[in-house]
Amino acid sequence: MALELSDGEIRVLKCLGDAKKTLEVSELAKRAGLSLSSVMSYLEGLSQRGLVRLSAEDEDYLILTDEGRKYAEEGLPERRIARRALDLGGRATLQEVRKAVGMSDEELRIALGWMRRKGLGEVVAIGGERVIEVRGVPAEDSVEEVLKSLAGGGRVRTKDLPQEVLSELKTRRLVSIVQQRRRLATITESGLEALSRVQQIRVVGALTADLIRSGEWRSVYLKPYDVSAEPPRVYPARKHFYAEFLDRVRRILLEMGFVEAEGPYVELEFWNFDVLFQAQDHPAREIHDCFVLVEPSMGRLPHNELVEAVKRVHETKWGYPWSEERASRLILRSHTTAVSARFLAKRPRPPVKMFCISKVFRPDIIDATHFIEFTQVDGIYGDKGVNLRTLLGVLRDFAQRLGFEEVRFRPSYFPFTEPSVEGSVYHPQLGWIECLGAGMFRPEVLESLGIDYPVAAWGIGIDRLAMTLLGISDIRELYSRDLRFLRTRAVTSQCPL
Amino acid sequence: MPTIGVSKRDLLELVGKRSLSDEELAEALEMLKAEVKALGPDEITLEVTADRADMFSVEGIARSLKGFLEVELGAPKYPVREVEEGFVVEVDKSVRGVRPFVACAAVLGCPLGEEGLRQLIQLQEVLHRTHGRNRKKFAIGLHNFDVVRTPIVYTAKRFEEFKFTPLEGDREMNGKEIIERHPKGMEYGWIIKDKGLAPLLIDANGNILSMPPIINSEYTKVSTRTRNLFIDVTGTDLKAVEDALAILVANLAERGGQIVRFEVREGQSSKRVEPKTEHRLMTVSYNRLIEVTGIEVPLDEVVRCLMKSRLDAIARGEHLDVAVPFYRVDVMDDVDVAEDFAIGYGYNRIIPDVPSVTTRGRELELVSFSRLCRELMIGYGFQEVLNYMFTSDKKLDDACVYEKRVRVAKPVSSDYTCLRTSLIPPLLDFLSENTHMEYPQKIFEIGDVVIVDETFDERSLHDKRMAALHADYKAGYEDVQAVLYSFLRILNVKFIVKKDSKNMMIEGRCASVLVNGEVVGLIGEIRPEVLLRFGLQTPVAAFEISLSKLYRAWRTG
Repeated sequence: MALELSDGEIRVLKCLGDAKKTLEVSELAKRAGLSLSSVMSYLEGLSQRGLVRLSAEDEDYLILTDEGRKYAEEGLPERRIARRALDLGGRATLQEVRKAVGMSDEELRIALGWMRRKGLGEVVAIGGERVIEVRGVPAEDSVEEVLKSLAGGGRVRTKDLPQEVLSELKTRRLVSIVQQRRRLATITESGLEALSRVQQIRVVGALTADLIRSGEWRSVYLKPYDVSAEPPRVYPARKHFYAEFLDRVRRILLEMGFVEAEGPYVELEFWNFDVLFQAQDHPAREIHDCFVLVEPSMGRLPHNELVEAVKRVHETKWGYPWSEERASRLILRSHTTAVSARFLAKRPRPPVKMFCISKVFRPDIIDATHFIEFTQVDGIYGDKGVNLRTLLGVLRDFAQRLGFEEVRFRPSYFPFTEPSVEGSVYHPQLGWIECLGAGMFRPEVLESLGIDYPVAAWGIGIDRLAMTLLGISDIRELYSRDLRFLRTRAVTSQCPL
Repeated sequence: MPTIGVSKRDLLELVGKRSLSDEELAEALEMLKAEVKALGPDEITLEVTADRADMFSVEGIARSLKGFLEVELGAPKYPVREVEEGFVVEVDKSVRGVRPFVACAAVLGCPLGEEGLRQLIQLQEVLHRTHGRNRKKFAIGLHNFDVVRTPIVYTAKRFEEFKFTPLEGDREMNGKEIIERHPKGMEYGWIIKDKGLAPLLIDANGNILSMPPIINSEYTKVSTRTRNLFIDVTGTDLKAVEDALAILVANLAERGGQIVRFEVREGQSSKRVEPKTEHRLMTVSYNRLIEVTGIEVPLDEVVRCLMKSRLDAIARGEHLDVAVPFYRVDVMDDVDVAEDFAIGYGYNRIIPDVPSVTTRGRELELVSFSRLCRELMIGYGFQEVLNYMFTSDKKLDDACVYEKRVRVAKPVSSDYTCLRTSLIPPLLDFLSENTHMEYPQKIFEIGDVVIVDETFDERSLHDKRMAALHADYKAGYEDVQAVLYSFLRILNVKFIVKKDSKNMMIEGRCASVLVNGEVVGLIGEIRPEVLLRFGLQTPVAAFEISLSKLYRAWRTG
C-alpha cells in the first residue's frame, strides 16, 4: 500500500507524523516545502485512503483598527499619562502632563477615564488646579500586549483571550473581529502505519547496475517518472540527403545496365569542346561561359592520331585554321559530356552503356535557382541499331524509374548531337520540367573519336530534378550549411530521402 | 538560346492562317525548335535554338510553320533578279588586312511597316550577337536603297581621313571621333582599332554608307516607309558573311520583297555574285534516315515529312534527292536532314523504343568503397555534410593549407576563387555557421579535392578524400584518433601513425597516417589561431584521409 504513495504524499505524511499533532494546512505546506495547492491535493488523496483526517473550523481573529495600530506604537494613552506624571514626581498638573504628551482634549478625557478605571491614578483639585496623582504603573498591560502582538504580525484568536481583555478591546474599538476557516489535518493510525512502512523503503531514482547486482533492487522503491515529460533532444548521425539522392540515381542507371565512368574536373578544351565539334570561336567557349584557369593554364593534348582527326574535322567542316594551342587551354569542365568523349576515345566494343554523375562548372549569377557548380548525369548508349527512338526510350525509362510517369520530347539543339532532343517530365505541382538534354552524337564527333557505331547521348542537370523531388526551393540548400536542417530534416512517404 | 519577340497577328498573317488557337500555335512552335516563353494578347516571346538562324525573325518562323501546318510544302521559291547594270561592289585591296570580305544585295518592294522593320532590326541584332560573334565575324548594314548610287566601293581609310554623320547623329564625325566618342564606336571599336584603317562602303556619289562593323550613316537610314533595301554584310569569314546575307534576303523575300543580286569584284580577275540563293542538293539514303531516327515509315511519307520541314525531296529508288534551301545554313550532313525528317514527322508522335539488349551495370569501385566508408562514419555518429568543390583562397589560407590550387581567371564571387585542396577548410567553415547549435558536433564529408600536379596532362590530380571533424567544449586528438584507428582496423589495413608537423595543427598533436610507406592521411587538433580565424571558440580535432590511396591498399591487401 505504501508503494502506491507518491513522492509528495509521502512528504506530507512525514511532516504530519513528525509533528505528532494536528496541523493547519498552511503550516503543513510550510514544513513540507510545498505549495498550498499541491499540499491540498495530496491531502485529498491521503484522506480518501484513510491515512489522514481532514477537518475544518471557523475561528474569529482580531485585526487592528487605525486607533489600535496607533496605540500599538505609542502605548495606551492612560499608561502614557500615568508614566508622565510618575516621571514628574507622582503628582503633576493636568496642564503639565498634557503638554508633555501632546494630546487633544478629547483624547485626554478618555485617557483619564481609563486611568481611573484601571486604578493607575486619580485627578484631584489642589488649590484650584487639577492635579494628577499617580501611585504606580504596572510593567505590562494585557490589552497593550495584544495590540503589540497584532502589530507584529501575530495572529490572535478571540477564544484565546480572557473575556475582560476582549471586551476592553472591543469597547475601545481598537480591534475588529473577522472570521476565518481553518483547514486542519491529522495523521490517522493507518497513516502512521503507512508512514513507518514507507520510511523503511529507499526511494530510488536511477536503477543502477549495483542495485541489480546486489539484489537491493528488490527492497527499493523505484520512483515513478513523469512519462510524458519532454526529453532532452538527440540527433542521429545521418547520411546527407543529396548524397543519398545521387546514389538513388546511380542505382537506377546500374539497374538499367550502365557502367559508371569518371574524368578530370580540370579539363582541356580539347575534350570539353573540340572533340565535341564545337568550333573554337563558339560563344560557349568564351570566358563568360566557362571557367578559364589562371593556374594551371595549359594542358597536354592526347595522342597525335586523335588530335589530327579533330583538326581535320574542324578544318574541313567549319573551314577555319584549328589551333592546337587553343585546344590545350585548361578550363573547369562545363559538362560531363567531356567524360563521355574520353570514354569513347578508348574505342570500347559495343554495346557501350556508360554513365557519369559528377560536378560541372559554369559562370552564372548566384541565386535561388542558379549556382556556378552543379551536378550533371551524363550517359551514352552506343551500339549498332541505336537511334533517336532508342534514345527516347532510355530517357523515358530513366524518368519513370525516378518517379516521373509522363515524359514528352521536343526538338532541340546541341553542337555535338543531331538529331537533338529536349525532354520534359511532368510534376503534379510544378508542371512540365525541362531537364533531359539529349541527342545522337554527330558523325563528326564519332569520326574524330574513331567510333563506327551510332551513339545516343544525354546530359541531365540533376540538381533541378532533385529540388522538385526533395521539395527544395533554393538550389543552395542541396549543399545546406545548416546543421539543424541536416539533423532534423523530416522524412516522409512522399519524400523518403 | 536567342530570345525573339514576334507579333501574333503578323505571324498568323504571314502564315495565312487565322484560325489557330494559342495552344495549337504554342504546340506547333515547340515542335519547330521555337519554345514559347510568354504569350501576350499579341506579343509572343520565343526561344529559338541557336542553330536555326533563319528563324531569328518572324518571317522565318512563319515559313517553318507553313510547312508544319501543311500550308506550303517544300523549299520556298523566291523570285531573284540577276545582276543589273552597275549593281557592283568593288573591293579595294586595302581591306584585306582589316575586314576582307563583303557581300551585298538589294531587296525591292518589301512592305516593311512597323512590324517588318522591328523584325528586320531584331534579326540583324540577334545575328550580330550570336553567329556574328558580336560583329567580329560579320556585321550587317541596312540601307535605304533609294538614296544609294551604284556602283559601290568597299575600301579602307585612315580614321582621320573621312567623316560622315553616323546613324541617329546630328553632325559629321571623323573615324577617330566615332571610335573614341560614339557609343557604338566605344562598344565595337576594338574589332578594327588596332588595324589602323577603318573599312568603309562608299557609293558612286561618294557618300559613305557605313563604317562596318561600327555604324551606318544617317544618310541611308531605313524607316517604316522604306520599300527598297540595300544590305551589306562584311566580315572575316566569307562563308559566315554569305550565310548571313542569305538569311536576311530570304526572310525579306518571305515578306514579299524581291531579291536583287550584286556582283562583288576584287581586281580584274575575281568576281562573285551575291547573294547565294541556290538550293544545295544532297543525296540521302532512305535507310540512313530510318537508321538515325528509328521512325519506320514508307519512302513517300519520308518525302512528305521533309517537305513539311521546307526541304524539297524526290524519291529515287532507295535514295532521296534533297534540296536544302539556301538560308538553311545549319544543314551540313545527312543527320541534319534526318532531324528535319523527324521534325516534319513530329517529335510528339515518335514512340520511344525501349532497347532489349541486356547489359550488366557496374559502378566505379571507388564509389563502392566510398559508400562502405560512409556507412562506417555514420556508425561512429558523424553527420554527413556536402560542400562545394569551389572555395576561396582566403579560406584555404586561413586554414594554412598550402598545396598548389586550381584557380579560375574570372571568379564570379570572392567566395569561389579556386577548387579545394583539402576537405577540412570548408568543414571548418561549416562548423563556424553552426556555433549556436548543440555540441558535440561530429561531421564528415567524402568528396574530391583537386591539386595542381604537373605530371598529368590536365596538370592536376583529383583525389577522393574523407575528412571527419569533432568539435566540442573539450574535443581532442584521441576523439578522432579512436575513430580512425577503429576504421582502419575494420578495413584490415596495416597502418602506422607518425608524428608530423602541419601549420593547421597544434605542434606535437599532429600526425601522418601511412599505409605501405605512403602518406594517406593526416590527423590532429586544429590550432586555436586557425579556429579563431573561422570564428570558432570550440576545440576541433580532425582527420583527413585519401580514399583513392586507401582503396588501392585495401584492394591489394
